[in-house]
Amino acid sequence: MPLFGIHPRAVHRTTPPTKSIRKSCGNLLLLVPALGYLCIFFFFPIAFLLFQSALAPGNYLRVLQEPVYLEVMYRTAKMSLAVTIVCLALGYPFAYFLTTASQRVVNLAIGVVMMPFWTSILVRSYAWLVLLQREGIINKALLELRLIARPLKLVYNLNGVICGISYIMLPYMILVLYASMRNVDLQLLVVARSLGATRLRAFYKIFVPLTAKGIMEGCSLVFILSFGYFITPALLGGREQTTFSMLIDIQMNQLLDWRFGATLSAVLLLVIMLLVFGVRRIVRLERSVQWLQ
Amino acid sequence: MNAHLRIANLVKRYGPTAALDGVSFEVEPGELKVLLGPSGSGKSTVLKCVAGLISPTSGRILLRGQDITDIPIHQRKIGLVMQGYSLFPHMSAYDNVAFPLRTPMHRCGQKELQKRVAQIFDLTGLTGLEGQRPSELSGGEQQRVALARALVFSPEVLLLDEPLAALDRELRERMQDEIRRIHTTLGMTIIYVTHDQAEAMKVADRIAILNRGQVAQVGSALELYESPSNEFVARFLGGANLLTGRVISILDGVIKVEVGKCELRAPSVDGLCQDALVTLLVRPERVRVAVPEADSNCLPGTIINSTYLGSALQTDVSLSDGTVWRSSMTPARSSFKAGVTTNIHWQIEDTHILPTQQSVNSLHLEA
Repeated sequence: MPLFGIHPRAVHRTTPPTKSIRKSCGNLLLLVPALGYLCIFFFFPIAFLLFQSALAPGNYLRVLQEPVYLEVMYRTAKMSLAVTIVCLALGYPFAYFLTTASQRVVNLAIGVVMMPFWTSILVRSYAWLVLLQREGIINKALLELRLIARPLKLVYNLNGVICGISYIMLPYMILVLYASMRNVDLQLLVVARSLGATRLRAFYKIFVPLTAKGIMEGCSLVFILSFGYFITPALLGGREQTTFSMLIDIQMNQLLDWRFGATLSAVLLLVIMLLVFGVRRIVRLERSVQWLQ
Repeated sequence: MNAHLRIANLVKRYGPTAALDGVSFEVEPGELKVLLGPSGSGKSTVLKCVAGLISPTSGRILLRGQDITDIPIHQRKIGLVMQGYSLFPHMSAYDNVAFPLRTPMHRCGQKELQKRVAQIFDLTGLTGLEGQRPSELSGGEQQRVALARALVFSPEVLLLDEPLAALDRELRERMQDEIRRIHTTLGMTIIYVTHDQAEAMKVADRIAILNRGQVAQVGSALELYESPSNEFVARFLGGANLLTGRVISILDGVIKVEVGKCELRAPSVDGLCQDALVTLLVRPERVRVAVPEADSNCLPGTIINSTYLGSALQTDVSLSDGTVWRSSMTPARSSFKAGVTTNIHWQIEDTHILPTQQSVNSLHLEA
């Protein structure tokens, strides 16, 4: 009960704010190195790029008028979508397995997931080449087993690119999904089953909706990263798999048209931002519709 | 056998330790049975076995005479309310409650579903909260939603695992009444797990007290409190004043027990013989300090302290051998002074005899 009309906690509340403000100011100082780094090496170059592209506004019209740019943009989006779907299909069961496994198994599995990060992307992409090429291990094995008569074309096409990028993106997907799944109370599934739901029904009626945010986050991350990806498509893709970032590279490194390269970069940035915000918007809308029902 | 649910010799081992060590009891149709015990006594384990969350090492669970031990959890038709309610956070209260009726197991038509959900909302006093998410509901409301969800598919048996543990005292008492009311209205067979003996006595038709994975005693609150069959039950349910002595005579339904140099009398029970060791139990409410009564038991002692509690005057008295007895009397105007020598009295019929406890040594009271 409050004594003399003053809540005991209120007395404490009047003194510490100055202290906590000072403390949070001190904490803000900790941000300076990282923010400074980002400013110099990220925000500044981006601003420079945007400025460059703004010097030749006609370039934007060029992007729209020459069909190759929109065509490549569309193909890149399709490829990124395919990669995202593959990563989700492979990552979701894996992450779910982690939520039910013991701590020891989890540590081990996370270690295995992180292992690819220890090697360079270049090496990993070439490793796929070894597997997928005409005389690669997979084709040889299939030929030996007489499952195929002629070697399959597995690389320098969409297949090669999707294999290569999915493999690199999968850990991101798994880690994001696992982080969101860990917050789900598994007792809910047990209760759902006691209420008459089969294991499968409890999974897709309870578990999947509760990880929807994680799915969205994982997919957005993988999609965005894939959209701007460069090395792997360049190594494992064919002419058809030219991505938008490869067009930028051609403009800047081969044609030395920096301004047009900058315009293309700005367009890529804009498209990705629109996509991400669009998806977020849809998800939120869906939630509020559910709410109304 | 007309038992609704029969638990037969249930054993659950985790490695070398037995969480359940041969638990057997029956639940009558429409009975509210409370499983009461300290933590680690195995009461929740029994519930989990009945619900099908874990499978027992051995033993059988029979529902209307049918063995359900190996039936998968979703086919058991047993309603379950867990301690944290476990409401589905992404669904409204309505969808939570409708969930069972949308599963293939309990599926029904849209009209029937609406009718049944509306009925159960009405019964549990939730009408008007249909659209709310669990996070927007108070603790008591969440509790009701969990209850409604477990009842909506008309389960054979309802299992409640510490359902009120998360609520504050006032709300808990209201919900106890509520659960009793719902129980009477529906005539539902309920197993209710709690560690709170006051709660158990309030809601239960009958109570099964568990201790170390075994059933210590089954009975109504009155039976368990007034005539516990062992020391654990006596101590677990309320205050217990205990003394051990030797039977010196059995005459006309009254036995005389020699405790040290004192002679105490108690109503006789079957199966006693001369020279047997018995433990006497007297509840604190029956013990009066310094109020002599005709034809009652009497022991001398020294008052240690005396506390006025409003509804009772609680006095601790040290007997000559050092045993402390507690008396809880209707308060007089004044309390007793500590250090004063006095006598404590209680009626002969208020003395209850527990079966022999060999481990307890005979005490040496001086008259």
